[in-house]
Amino acid sequence: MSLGKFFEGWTFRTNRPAYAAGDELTAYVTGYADGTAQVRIGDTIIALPDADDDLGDQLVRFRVTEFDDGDSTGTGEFLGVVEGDT
Amino acid sequence: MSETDLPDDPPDESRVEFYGGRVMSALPLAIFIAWAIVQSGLLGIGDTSGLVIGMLVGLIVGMLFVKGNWKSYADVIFEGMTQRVAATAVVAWLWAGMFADTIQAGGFVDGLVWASSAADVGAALFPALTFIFAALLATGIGTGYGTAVAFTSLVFPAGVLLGADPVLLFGAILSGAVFGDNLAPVSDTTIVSAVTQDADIGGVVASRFKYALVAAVLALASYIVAGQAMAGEPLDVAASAGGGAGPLGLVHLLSILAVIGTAVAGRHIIEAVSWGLIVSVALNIALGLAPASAMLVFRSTSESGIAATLNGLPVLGSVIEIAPDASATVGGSLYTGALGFFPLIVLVLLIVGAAQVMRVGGGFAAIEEWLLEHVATTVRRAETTMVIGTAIVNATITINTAAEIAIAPFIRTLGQRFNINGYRRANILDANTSALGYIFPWGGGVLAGYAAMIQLPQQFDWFTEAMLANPAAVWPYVFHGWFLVAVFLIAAWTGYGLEYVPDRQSEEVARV
Repeated sequence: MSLGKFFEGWTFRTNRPAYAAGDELTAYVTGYADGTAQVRIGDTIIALPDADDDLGDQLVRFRVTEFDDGDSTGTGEFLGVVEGDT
Repeated sequence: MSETDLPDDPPDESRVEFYGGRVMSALPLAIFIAWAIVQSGLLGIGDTSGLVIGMLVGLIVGMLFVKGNWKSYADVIFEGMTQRVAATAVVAWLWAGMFADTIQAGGFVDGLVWASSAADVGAALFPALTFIFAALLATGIGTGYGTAVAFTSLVFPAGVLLGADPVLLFGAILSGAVFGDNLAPVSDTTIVSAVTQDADIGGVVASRFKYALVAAVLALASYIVAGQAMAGEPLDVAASAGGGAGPLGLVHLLSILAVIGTAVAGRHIIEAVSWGLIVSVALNIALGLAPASAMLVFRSTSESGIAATLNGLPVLGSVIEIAPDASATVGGSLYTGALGFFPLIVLVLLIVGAAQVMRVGGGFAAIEEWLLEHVATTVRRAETTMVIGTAIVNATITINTAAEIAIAPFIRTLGQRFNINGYRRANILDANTSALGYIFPWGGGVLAGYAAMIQLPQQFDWFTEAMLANPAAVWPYVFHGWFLVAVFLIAAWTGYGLEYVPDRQSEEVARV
């Protein structure tokens, strides 16, 4: 165990994390809206229009393609399911 | 603990169906909770065996509402009772009980009383110091129940002698147990929190300091202030009780060190406490602190025959007594230490059985769906729901590890819907589990400590019934527990310590 682990997260984290186009993220698909996969991170929602329709609660990788800081929403390009996660 | 020992997420379709719907699967637990509140809260009867009957009645009444074959209901109870978590609690109690009674037989309390008078620790500071040492012990051995038992048996009488307020002192012991249960890598609740949230135990413990330390500093300050405000006069018996044995009993700090050392080195709790037990028995005999018969004795009423022959033998004879006037029995600290926990052991087995009924019957799933739809609609509200939900379940279910296992799938589902990472989820789950298991009079930690306390009048001539701390009065004084819940409520509202899955993913689960 590295000592760094003791000092992670001693901060106040926003409820609407912001991302930029080009960011590659790993997160759970949290639901579907009108057939489009949604990744909800806090109260930020990123839609993955090209993701399959059976990825609920699965850990996936995606690249942010657009992000609107104003309403904390964006879209992303689906890259794949993270192996080893169910 | 391996992953296969943990319950699965709530099944989509209930294996056992109830008249009145899925929520009725909560009936056995609901009856038990109502029984516990009436018995221990309203009537002030702290009898654990009484709670066992409450749980039995709950399970029987629940069965009457099962649709179709009752055998499936019975199977589910068995399934729940054979979960490893129940066995973990049973083992921790039996071993810790034997250990605590054995170092007490060796005069550890007398040593503590001597040390506190030599160091001039008055009644005012005693609760604060008790909190620190209980926290250290619990962090070392990982069992808050064991700590509550050991400190109530060993340190509580010393504090009462010095004039510390019994209720405040009991609160300080329970606070220390909360701290250790929350932080210790070998604590069963820590392990459950990490494993159910898919996070490595080392990472979970490391990420826990930012909450535990804030609460502990506030709790310590509160014990210093309250200790001064509530301190009484030392009892007259202090000189005779403490002065008689002197400091020699303090060698049992070595026994405690043996437990903490082996536990911190990552050994199993059975091994760690066994080492402590072996060291304490050896010290008692080698230094003449207690005769072998104080730790184990076979009392026979027969003056002749085999008992008399064995009594004459050199080694074996020291644990055999011939007492024609007494009743034939086995005794000694090993016996009484383990025996004191038998009712609690039965209770925990029945409760995990009832929790399994609620899980399989869909009661948990029904609550989860309702929460996601109506309450946990933003990340702040979801985290607040996780904190309050864990707190309520643990406030109502006696055995906190059982309660934690029951609520763990909710925390996982709610948290994942907002991509809250595994460390954060495990921390919310364990802190509120640890805190609430030691506050209310029906909480397992309070009962475990109280079970040890009510034996004190038999152990010390000077200890009267009036010196017992009422378990129903202790709840406002478990400062660390309350501060821990408060820290997490504030953390949920402000995002203090919040981490998302894309920020940092928890590593794979490992044993320690």
